[in-house]
Amino acid sequence: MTIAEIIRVTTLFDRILLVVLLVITGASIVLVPLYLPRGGQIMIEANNKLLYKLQLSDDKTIEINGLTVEIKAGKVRVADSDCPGKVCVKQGWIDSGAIICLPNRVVITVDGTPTAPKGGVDATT
Amino acid sequence: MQQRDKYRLALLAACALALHGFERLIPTPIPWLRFGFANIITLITLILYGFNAALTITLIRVIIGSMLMGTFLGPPFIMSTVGGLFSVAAMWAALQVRVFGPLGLSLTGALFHNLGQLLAVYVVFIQNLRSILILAPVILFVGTLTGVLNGLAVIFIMEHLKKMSDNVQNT
Repeated sequence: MTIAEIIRVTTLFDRILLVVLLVITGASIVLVPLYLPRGGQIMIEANNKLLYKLQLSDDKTIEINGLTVEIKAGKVRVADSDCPGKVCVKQGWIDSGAIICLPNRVVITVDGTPTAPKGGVDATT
Repeated sequence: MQQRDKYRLALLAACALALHGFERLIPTPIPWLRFGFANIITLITLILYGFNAALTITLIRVIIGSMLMGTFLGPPFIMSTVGGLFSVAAMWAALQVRVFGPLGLSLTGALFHNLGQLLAVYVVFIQNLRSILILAPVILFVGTLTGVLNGLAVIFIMEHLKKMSDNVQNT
């Protein structure tokens, strides 16, 4: 099939839906973080309770619900976890966005970096 | 339902399961990113056999798939069940409107799959609107891209099936 044939089998509403979705989701990737408060603050929650409020500049390591959370050089990561999937560990270092461990019910959110207040979007945000 | 249709549904469910398992082997830049190839099969089933058949195939896929992966009744199981049900219901509704082709249906399915999962995460696991708001646009954007990919696959397969049935009728 050529590209012309593919375009022929899509309907007008298919194309409208595609453009609308791309524009809305693309724009909200940029806009949503701008409207949320920033300040380089790390919040660590477990079982839906806020347990820690830390700064990205605080270098420390915290044990929580089987997770080892490491904050170093303005970034945060889950160094180790006892959960089966280890998605949180594979996500690596982040300086904005969130790391979520569903099995252990731990959420780590970062309010963005103070050094780059309108900082770019990386793969993990 | 005819016996022949039952065999076909079983075959389609097996295809969906294979794709469901196979896509976990593809490395992606973000660990939780999935292509949702199984939705190709769900959508084809929905177009050819209707809502009940598509629902059956989705349920077979998430239940047996989670048993094979060892996540039965765990968080991934709840997420794929909710996502699968949302996506089948949304694609069926979009099919009723009769203005969408396979691409639009696939996009609808991908969108509602992700919305369902985000809702499930919020209701069942984490009542943290903030982190969900940060993640949602990226998840929905990537979902749109994979939705296009799956929609194209459905277009190719449907065209191929049409050619095959034309050939059978002509001979």
